[in-house]
Amino acid sequence: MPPAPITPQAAADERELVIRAQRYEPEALEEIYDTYFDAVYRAIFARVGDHTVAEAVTGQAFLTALEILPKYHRRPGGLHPWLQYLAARELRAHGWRPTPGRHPVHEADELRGALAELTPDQQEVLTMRFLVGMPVEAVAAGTGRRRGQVRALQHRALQALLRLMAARDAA
Amino acid sequence: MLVESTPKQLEEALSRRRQGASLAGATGLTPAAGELEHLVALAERIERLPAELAPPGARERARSRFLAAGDRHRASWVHQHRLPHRAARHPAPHHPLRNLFLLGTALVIALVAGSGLALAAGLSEPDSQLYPAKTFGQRVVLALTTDPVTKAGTEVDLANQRFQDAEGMAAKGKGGLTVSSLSAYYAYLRDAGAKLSGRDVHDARWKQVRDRLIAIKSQTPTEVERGLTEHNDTVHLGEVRQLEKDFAADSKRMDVALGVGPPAKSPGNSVNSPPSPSPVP
Repeated sequence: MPPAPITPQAAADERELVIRAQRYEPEALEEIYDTYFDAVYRAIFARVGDHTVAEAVTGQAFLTALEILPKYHRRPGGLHPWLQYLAARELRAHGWRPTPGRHPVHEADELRGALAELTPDQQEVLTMRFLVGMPVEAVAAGTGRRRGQVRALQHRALQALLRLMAARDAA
Repeated sequence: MLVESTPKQLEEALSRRRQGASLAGATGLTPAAGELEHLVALAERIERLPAELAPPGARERARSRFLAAGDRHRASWVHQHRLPHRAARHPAPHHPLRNLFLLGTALVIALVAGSGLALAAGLSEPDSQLYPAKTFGQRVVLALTTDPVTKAGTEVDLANQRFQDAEGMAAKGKGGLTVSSLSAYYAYLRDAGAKLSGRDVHDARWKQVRDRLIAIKSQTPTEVERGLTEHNDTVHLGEVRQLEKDFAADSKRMDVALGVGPPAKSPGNSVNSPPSPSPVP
């Protein structure tokens, strides 16, 4: 389900939440975790299809968020795109790859394998756009790109994925 | 061969698809429709990837780790943002002569400042903003002087200053100030003459003041008239001449009263009192 658009009141509430979280107030950290953990986990699981990897990557993404929270500057899309972006980076750093030599037994595994062969930037954009369901504006805010760049990256990523899938089918 | 689509066409096709259009309807009739159909279908396959929630145990484990790390960060943050301890500042020891020293310093500052102001006022001219302070101080000095001869001597000195002021103002073309200075000059001369002529004891100090008065009043405002003439200030020039004319008669009576002129024909013509019975040598 795509995230709900951010209303001015919600933006103000989140600004307050971020200020409290930057002081590491436990209640604010709990609120951030309870609000965003599931969405981030689901996106990562959709990418890897493995609970162990999804738990490790999502957990590490939230720990990284704690580290750099004092330097966080509020973005138009809010905290969610930022956390998704951190999770996508953690997945890349984790080095997850589909098990080599394993014949895809499921259509989803084949697609995940092809996704993993894209460039990190392409993987990030496709994950945030189609697995999380974010609009172009939110992806742009979360990844620090302009909207036109996000649209172009998304277009190239899908074209590349199409070629990879065609090559896999041919093989 | 497929014609390549553009990012904009893809975004528009995705948008139409989300609004409920069929795949063919979303991609439209563009030459790139073939590729767009494949790209949109692929995007929808990604969207359909199974996305499961974390098992309860995994969620709680991650939550515990996150909150424990948050506590450590909180402790570190509090440590960094705690105000540094500062020792209380002790009051400076109170020296017994401290107040005396402060009072002395204040007096010295007041004296220096007052002297500076008085000096500046003393050097000021009628067109200066400090000039009223100067004349006020002179009036105070006069008021505090009780001895008539000394007072007359001070008035002679002030008359001389006013005369010089008048010359200065005339040179600057300031006719109004010239007239007022010259008027004050004559007024001081008249007052001094009256005080001296009213004294019965003509001692050496009296004679000294009288001689200074005679010398000062013998000045003619030639420079004053020249200054006003150069500035074509005929109005004030006329006033100056009238003042001079008015004082001429008083001056003669003053001479008689002070014993330096021919005796008056009638005793009622003295400046303030009858002239002395015998001329003072």
